[in-house]
Amino acid sequence: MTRKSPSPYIQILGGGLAGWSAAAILAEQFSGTAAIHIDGAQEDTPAESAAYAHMILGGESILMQHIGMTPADLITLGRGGFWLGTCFEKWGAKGRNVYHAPGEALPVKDGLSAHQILRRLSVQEGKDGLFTDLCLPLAFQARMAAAGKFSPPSADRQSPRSLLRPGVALDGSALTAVMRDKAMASGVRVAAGMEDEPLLIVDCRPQEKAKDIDCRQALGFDRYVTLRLEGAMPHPPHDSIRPLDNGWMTILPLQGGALITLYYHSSHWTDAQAKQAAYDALPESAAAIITSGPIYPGRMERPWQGNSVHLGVGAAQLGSAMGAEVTLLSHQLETLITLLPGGKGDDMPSKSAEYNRRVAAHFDHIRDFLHLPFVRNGLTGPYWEQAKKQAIAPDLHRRLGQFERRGLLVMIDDDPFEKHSWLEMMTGLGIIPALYDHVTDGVDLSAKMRDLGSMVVAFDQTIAAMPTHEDFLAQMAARMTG
Amino acid sequence: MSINANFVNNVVIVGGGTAGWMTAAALSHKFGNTGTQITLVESAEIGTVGVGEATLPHIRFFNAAMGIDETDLMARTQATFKLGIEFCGWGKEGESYIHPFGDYGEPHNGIAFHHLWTQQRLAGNAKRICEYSLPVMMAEANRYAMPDADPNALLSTFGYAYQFDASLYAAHLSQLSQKRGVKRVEGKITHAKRSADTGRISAVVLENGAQVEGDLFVDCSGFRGLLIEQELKTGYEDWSHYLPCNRALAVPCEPSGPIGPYTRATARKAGWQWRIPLQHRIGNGHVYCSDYISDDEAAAILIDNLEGPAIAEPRPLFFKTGRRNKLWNGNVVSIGLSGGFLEPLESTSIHLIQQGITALVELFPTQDSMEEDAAEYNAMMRLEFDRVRDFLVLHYVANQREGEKFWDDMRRMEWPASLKEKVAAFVHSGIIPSYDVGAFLPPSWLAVFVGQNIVPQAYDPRLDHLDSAAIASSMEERRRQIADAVNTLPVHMDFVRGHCPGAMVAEMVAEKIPSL
Repeated sequence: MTRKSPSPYIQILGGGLAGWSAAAILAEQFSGTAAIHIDGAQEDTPAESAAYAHMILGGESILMQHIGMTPADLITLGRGGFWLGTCFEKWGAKGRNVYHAPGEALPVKDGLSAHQILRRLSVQEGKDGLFTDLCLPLAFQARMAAAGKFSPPSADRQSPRSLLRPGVALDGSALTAVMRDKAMASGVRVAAGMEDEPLLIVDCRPQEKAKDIDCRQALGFDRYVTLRLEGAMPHPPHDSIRPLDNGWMTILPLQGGALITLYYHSSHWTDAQAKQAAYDALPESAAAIITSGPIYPGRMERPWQGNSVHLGVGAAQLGSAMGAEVTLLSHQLETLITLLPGGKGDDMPSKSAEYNRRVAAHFDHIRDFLHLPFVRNGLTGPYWEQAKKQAIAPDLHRRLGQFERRGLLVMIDDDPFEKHSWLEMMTGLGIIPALYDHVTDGVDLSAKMRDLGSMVVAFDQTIAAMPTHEDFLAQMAARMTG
Repeated sequence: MSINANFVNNVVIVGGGTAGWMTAAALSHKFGNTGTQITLVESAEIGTVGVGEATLPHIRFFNAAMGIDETDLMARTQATFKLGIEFCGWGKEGESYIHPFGDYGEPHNGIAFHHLWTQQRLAGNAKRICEYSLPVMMAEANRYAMPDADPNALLSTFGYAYQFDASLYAAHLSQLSQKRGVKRVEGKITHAKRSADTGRISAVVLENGAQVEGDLFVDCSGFRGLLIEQELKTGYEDWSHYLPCNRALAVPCEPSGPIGPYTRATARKAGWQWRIPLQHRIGNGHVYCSDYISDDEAAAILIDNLEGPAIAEPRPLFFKTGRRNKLWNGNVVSIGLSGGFLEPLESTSIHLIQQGITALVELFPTQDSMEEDAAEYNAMMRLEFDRVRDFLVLHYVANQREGEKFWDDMRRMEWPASLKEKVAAFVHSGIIPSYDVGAFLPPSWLAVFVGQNIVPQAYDPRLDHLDSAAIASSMEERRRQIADAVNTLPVHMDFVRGHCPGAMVAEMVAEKIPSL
């Protein structure tokens, strides 16, 4: 029996970035033949605006692919820059900065990871702390981020720059209009109510309630304040997460300013105290509050039920740290288009079950990755001590246990983070494995250390020769206008 | 010399054979320079199972990691190349398909190939799905060459494994291991001794009264599970309600037909028969369920279906499918048949040995505490076994051999819930199981689904909004490219003779260690 699908009718509820992106991408997927209506197009809620303003897009993001703009154009539009990673300011042991900078993994020789060699050396020297000291210089992309330098990736596999995987970071507010224009140009109609029973309802409205899987307690926030800073300030190629006494703030540097979001728990701070803390932590005269309110980190257990699928912050939310909100939305959209129902009579339950499984796994991995610095950090004070005591999910428990025991990086299905991302985060936080891989007892440590040393020198020289991120952006802008 | 004396430094492997010597080879390669003592105890009086002659592509990486030269290994083990497994009669009687080591077709606009194929099939435009798979067409044409190193080349789109003489493989690994310092002890184990303090096994005692002491014991004693079961009573999760075949007869024969680059599994009255072509002989076996057929009838079926004269008496094997409740219990790690058995249908026996060894190396324990390592090991291996089990069960439950009691019962059996969901998702929506951890990737599931006539009823709806004629044309172009490429390749055995001709039997005999 042929199942040629009729032109589908899809109803999208809620505007904002999630709604308009879904509209634009679905219209494109159906080559303009679908009837896609958007209801509530004007509803760009403060909560959603705040969530997606802090925008980080990797080259593989479906949003990046469908926006149809070059990174340079996006950077201009959103006053942004290149993104090499996220700096967790002073979260590490001895007040060290910790970087999540997802470049490519170092090449592995003889099946032995560099960190195992370094752990063995630190045991041999009787200095546990040496492990962290020696690991950090090998994190090339993180070091570039820390140095405020930028150069694009190189195709030459001999160059350290071949390890780079930069994204772009920008004020995402301007993107809603871009996606709206794309959607409207593809025939998406703004229409209230439903004309017929839709094939699919895509509900992109934020939900003002706790989610089925509630992460407010574990991640220590249920309120947020967003501020905008104007004026000249440093523009490194990374965003930052700065700890405060009773919360933390994400800082997205922009050209001529920054976007700040402070997250805190209402049991620790009143709104007034939080706002005051934000002002205290920033150059007061330049900061202006955009919005504030409750936030519901967590996820729906079954965002797709029947013919209705929830997308965006109403379905899953983790705050703007590491660009998590945009990453979640991108993954939701990507998953949805590979599981689009085929028309009336198609088997929606199997698609919805698979969708729900995939987005839950993706969310859980990001939540675990984000939760890791909350449970293993060098921060002090009641708020942070309480954070360290929060229960952790079984997968994270397993990852932590194996890394702490022997530096083993456990692989789990559907993880968007590669092993070396976990490694950099764990070593950055000062987690030192009790053991090392026994195989390293049989290798020539001096030779291995010479190899690693040569690599570090090459990294040093490459970074030293790079322009600052600001200079790179200025040169890029000059080329664009010239 | 180890600077961390806490690591286990005395490992005893109980049992030779493929599992034992693979373990010895890997541990000696990884830990040979660390001061770790490795002893393998085996008895020439106890035979090894020695089947598991067909492998999966993963074994290449295992061998490479041990520094084993592929060409040399293939020559020593009379190996041929393997591009997949042909399943005959598993759908309907008379039908066959090949499960290849490689993908099908190419995606279009980000839409997976099987959706394109489904759309074109429903429109009457698609050929058999196997015609879009290079390794299947190579296997059907009996052609072989090594994959192209250029990842953009069509001839890079397949993987390969080996069909080899497992006893020769074990012999080769035995030589390697002993050169690397593994101590081989000849003797029959009568019992184990336990530490009064910890309850852990401290030594195995041989018939002659000698004791072999160790900190960690790897039980490769086969189905008996000398330590893991007979001593520790670990328990076994019986899966014979899912995989009821419980006996096999193995017999080699002389080749008479072409020695193709693939293994064959032919459905029989109450089980199936394997054919594994090596350079010098054909390995054959009949796996069956004794509830449905007598041993004599099973033997008759096997002998009647040999392509050439048998060169040995059929050797019986008895087994119960399932997995040990804990593959690592106390200071005993069970690898190979002692840990579990899922029957040889998809050549997973050696793969599971390999996975067990890899996990053991990663989790190599210290003397004071093994509980955490054991827990992680058991979690990893449980997942491997469970996923392989579902894949194997699929072959049985999806049969269409009506009127044969064994096969009728298999169709009607209670499926594992996890498998039921996978099949429903594929049929109704074209969703293929996909995971990062496990032996079988989406192309494998696709091969068996479609090969056994489980086809999607719907395809990605986005295809209806693309140019169907252009898709058909692109698929046809790919099919032609594959056919043309296959015609340029040498005949499999011509390639084998030029690349890795089997060693002379006299050489092999001279090199064999006495016990083998």
